[in-house]
Amino acid sequence: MTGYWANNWQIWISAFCVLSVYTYLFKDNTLYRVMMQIFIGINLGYQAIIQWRDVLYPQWYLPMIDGFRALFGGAGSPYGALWALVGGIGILFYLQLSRKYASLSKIAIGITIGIGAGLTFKSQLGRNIPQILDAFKPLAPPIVRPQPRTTLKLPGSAFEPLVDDSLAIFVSGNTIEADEVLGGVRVWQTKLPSAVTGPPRFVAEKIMVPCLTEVVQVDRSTGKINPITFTGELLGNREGDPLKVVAVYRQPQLGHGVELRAKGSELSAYAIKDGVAEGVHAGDFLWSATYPEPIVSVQSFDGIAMITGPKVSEIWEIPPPQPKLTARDYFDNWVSVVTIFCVMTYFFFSFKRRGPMIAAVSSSGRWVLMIGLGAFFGNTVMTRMSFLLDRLMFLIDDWLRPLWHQIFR
Amino acid sequence: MKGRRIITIVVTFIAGLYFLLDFIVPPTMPGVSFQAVVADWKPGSVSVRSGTSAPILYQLISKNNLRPQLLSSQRDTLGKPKLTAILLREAGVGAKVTVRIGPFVAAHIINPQSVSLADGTQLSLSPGQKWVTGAGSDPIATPTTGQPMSIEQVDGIVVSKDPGSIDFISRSGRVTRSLGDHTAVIKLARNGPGGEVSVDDLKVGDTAQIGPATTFVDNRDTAAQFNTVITTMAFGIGLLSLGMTHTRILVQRKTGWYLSIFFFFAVAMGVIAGVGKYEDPGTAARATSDFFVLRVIASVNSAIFSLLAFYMAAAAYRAFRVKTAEAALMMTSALIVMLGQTPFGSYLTSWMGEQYSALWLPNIAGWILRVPNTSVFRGLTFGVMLGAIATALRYWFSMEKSVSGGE
Amino acid sequence: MNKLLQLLARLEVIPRKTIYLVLFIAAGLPFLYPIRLPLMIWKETRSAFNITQNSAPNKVVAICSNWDPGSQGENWPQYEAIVAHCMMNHVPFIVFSIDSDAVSPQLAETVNERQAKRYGCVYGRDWVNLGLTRGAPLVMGSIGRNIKQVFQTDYRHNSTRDFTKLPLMEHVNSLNDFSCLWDVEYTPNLDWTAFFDPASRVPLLFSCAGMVSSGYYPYISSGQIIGMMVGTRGAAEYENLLNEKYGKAFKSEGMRGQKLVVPLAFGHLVIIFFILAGNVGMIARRKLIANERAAKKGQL
Repeated sequence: MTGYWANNWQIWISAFCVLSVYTYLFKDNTLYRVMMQIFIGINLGYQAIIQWRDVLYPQWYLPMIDGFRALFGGAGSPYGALWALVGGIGILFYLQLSRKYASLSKIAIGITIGIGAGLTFKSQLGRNIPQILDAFKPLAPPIVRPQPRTTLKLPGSAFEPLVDDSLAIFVSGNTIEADEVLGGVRVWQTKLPSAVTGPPRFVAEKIMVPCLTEVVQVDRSTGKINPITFTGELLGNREGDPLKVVAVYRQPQLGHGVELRAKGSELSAYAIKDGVAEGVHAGDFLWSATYPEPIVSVQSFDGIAMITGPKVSEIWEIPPPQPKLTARDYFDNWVSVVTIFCVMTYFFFSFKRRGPMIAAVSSSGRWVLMIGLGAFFGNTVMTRMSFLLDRLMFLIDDWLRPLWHQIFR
Repeated sequence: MKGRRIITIVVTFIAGLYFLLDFIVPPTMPGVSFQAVVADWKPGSVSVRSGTSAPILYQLISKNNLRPQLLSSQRDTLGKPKLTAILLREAGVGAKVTVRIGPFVAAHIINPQSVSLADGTQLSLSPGQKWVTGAGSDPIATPTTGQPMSIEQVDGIVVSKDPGSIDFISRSGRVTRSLGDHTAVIKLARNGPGGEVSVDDLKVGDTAQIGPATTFVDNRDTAAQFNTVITTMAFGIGLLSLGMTHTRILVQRKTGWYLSIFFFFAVAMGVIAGVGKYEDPGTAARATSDFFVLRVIASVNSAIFSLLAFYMAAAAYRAFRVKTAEAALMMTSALIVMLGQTPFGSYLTSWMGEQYSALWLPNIAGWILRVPNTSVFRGLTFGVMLGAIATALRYWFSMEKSVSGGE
Repeated sequence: MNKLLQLLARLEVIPRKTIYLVLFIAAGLPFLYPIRLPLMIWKETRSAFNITQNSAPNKVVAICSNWDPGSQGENWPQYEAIVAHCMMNHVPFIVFSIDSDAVSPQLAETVNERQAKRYGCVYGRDWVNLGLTRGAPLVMGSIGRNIKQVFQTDYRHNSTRDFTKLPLMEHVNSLNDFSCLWDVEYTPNLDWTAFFDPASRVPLLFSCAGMVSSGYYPYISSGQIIGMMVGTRGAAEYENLLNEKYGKAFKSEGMRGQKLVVPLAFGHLVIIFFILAGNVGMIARRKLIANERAAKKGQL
């Protein structure tokens, strides 16, 4: 077998399979039935091997055998032998095939049904609670802009505090202290030999604090001053970063967030957008607020902001950037809310009509349902056509084209 | 018969209850959990003796490669023995373990018993330990510079262990809580639910919750595995029952008995295809398997599903008659979505220009799907949710007689 | 006038087999004379593309590939586009199947190997196929917590802890190592939203058949699913986006989305034609009957 046939015999078998299935379009025939049996048979034989080798062998057989070995002095956990019981339950399924013991198989079926029922609660509530929340949409522009909220007060700092996970390190005068920013608990406080002259920095898990006389090394966990201190200008008096910060929300990949800009004691927030965020326009002004004292620094993490002043720091919860809705968005929201109201009315009162009001709402529910069903039908056509085209593409591109070239080359 | 039915009802109820509780019960036992800011923690330690030498104490500290790792000899899925890392709580006193430190790269060899690393850390062998290459277990006689290696104590017996403890700062001052084998440590986060972490992932300043883990948390993966095994075990029934039917047809020579021969022949081919699947590409067995899967199963299966296109065309032609205003609405929506989904949609309407882009067919189709369709399906979903929960309750309490074996 | 109406009324009774034949020919012709038409890219596809594109360098794209030959007309082009994207973008990916037809891992691997040849990717380093498991939805949670516990071996029975053969698996332990999760199948399982990652840190991307896509739009609106590729159209759009981003580096030859989308348009036209024809026939017949009645009344 050389040339054309060596390359194409498999294609011919494949084409034969497809065409013999298509003969069913004209009438039920033997060829089609043979093809069905071959398909079912190969599929079942293949399934049996895969189910065993991919699933049962690693997840049931090996733990069980190891368990038995452990019972007789081998390594591993003897509890694995309990998998034999699970095997026993599995065998119960097969009693369906016997007339006498068929009712025993109900025990195994009962277990799977019980599992399914127990999981339904988590499955349905887990996926649908966000649906219920999303069904409430803004129908008119907000009267007040959402404002940030102070959730916690922390000590002030002369320089930008050092934040690492949920620990923040504040320096003021000649004290350094570490506070936890979730509940505001002070973890440690230490007196420094002299006044602090610059922001503290992390150097390999240690905190370096530039002071008037020396650079002090403080342990992050305990706040103890390390005896090794340096003199001279090791870190220098670095100017703080420009007062600008980006607070990123739930999906960092979606890349929408808030940019905070501070000037004196005035803080303004603007929307930022990069990536795929929908409905957010970069640079939109969101809100502004006044801090009781001049702002030393603004930092953000986990969707909150920490505003630091010389005397007091505050943790602010920042409202997520509200997409700026256009008239069209409000129109869409109205359509959504009215639609869902009508559809639910239609379903709940489908048995018994009560009053002309409900009847009217419920019949508009049927109208919008028709739009949904029409769209569903349109999508169905796409799927069914694609399945047919996949086979046509095979018949034309893979089977007939090479054949054509073979005959008329 | 009645006894069996009661057993079925009870096991169904217990199985459902387990997974319902798994969903409801919090990860640590309510009431006895403790939550505060972490001030310090002491890692777990284990002391291991091999042979006659004195036990060696290992502190299971993390954050670098020098964290001693407990390994236990288990068998992999092919049945070959292999060393698998285990948790401290899985290593009971008296268990046989291997401890490994590394891999690391020695910068300087001090003597055959000790080396120093680039950062100045000095490592020396204790009696019972030996150098091994990289992450493997092949012993090497003398350490070498520049090559990854580890320290291993082979076949040790766990003499004693200490699961470690956490120091908390609470309103009443510092509190030390020791950890048990079944203590769950949950690091609380500001946004979203907290996650379970191992003790050495905690940092000073984190807010953590500790408490005895509920059975459900301890056994989540085992429960999933149980479910996997049980659902898979039912799969053989189809094969067996079809096999029995076809045997009967063959024995009794019923009409169409020759089809059964094809069936058994095909099952044998399927088994060959299944076995060959695991071979590397390029081998004859894999080529055979690919032939059956891609050329036979795939062709027939996709051809069967493509038949639906013909039936759908015929059915749409016959049934889609505009007899009422509602039908007209449905057809309009269907036509817009059908055209909008294809290149014809943009081809027919994109001449209108960007300022009317909302009127392009794909955009109208998109609007239908994103706005009215979304609400319609959301309404349906709520109905389905209530129905599913009601049905689940009926099944859970075995009120569906057809399943639980009632009369 | 009546002649014309009679002719039109015959449109109401086109035989079944004629419909089959017309469909067969009309959908097949565009394969013989390929033409290209512009395609508008829907925002669901674009956001799915962007998320896959912006995958963090130390993370992997997880693909739950549950499609089987029954849905290959739509899912194959989709899956192939995702694989080509990951390979061009140098983002490693892992593939697994849950509760699918047993042939799913093998189909996925055929596509992976075909694309790997084009982009010079190596099994174990650039992708790993973990094979099949059962037991959704519980197993989804287990995958999120500890994927190596669920998949002890890969598709070829190498241990997933054997990092010399599967170096990629060294850094893949739980959902923290996933940049996103694609579910490619006829009806992607919504239980991913409830069982896999309750904190929603991993974006879910669905790649579904057109038919069921209507039901997923609510979940896109609520943000539970971030992006979606719908049917062959979605695959063709995804390929267009790849072309836009990578230009010549994207080896589009043999990619199915582009090839199928124009014949799809013709197929839709055939269906639309028959629906309209049936209705025209119906109207013509009613008109004829009305005319006849009017004529009878006139005679009386």
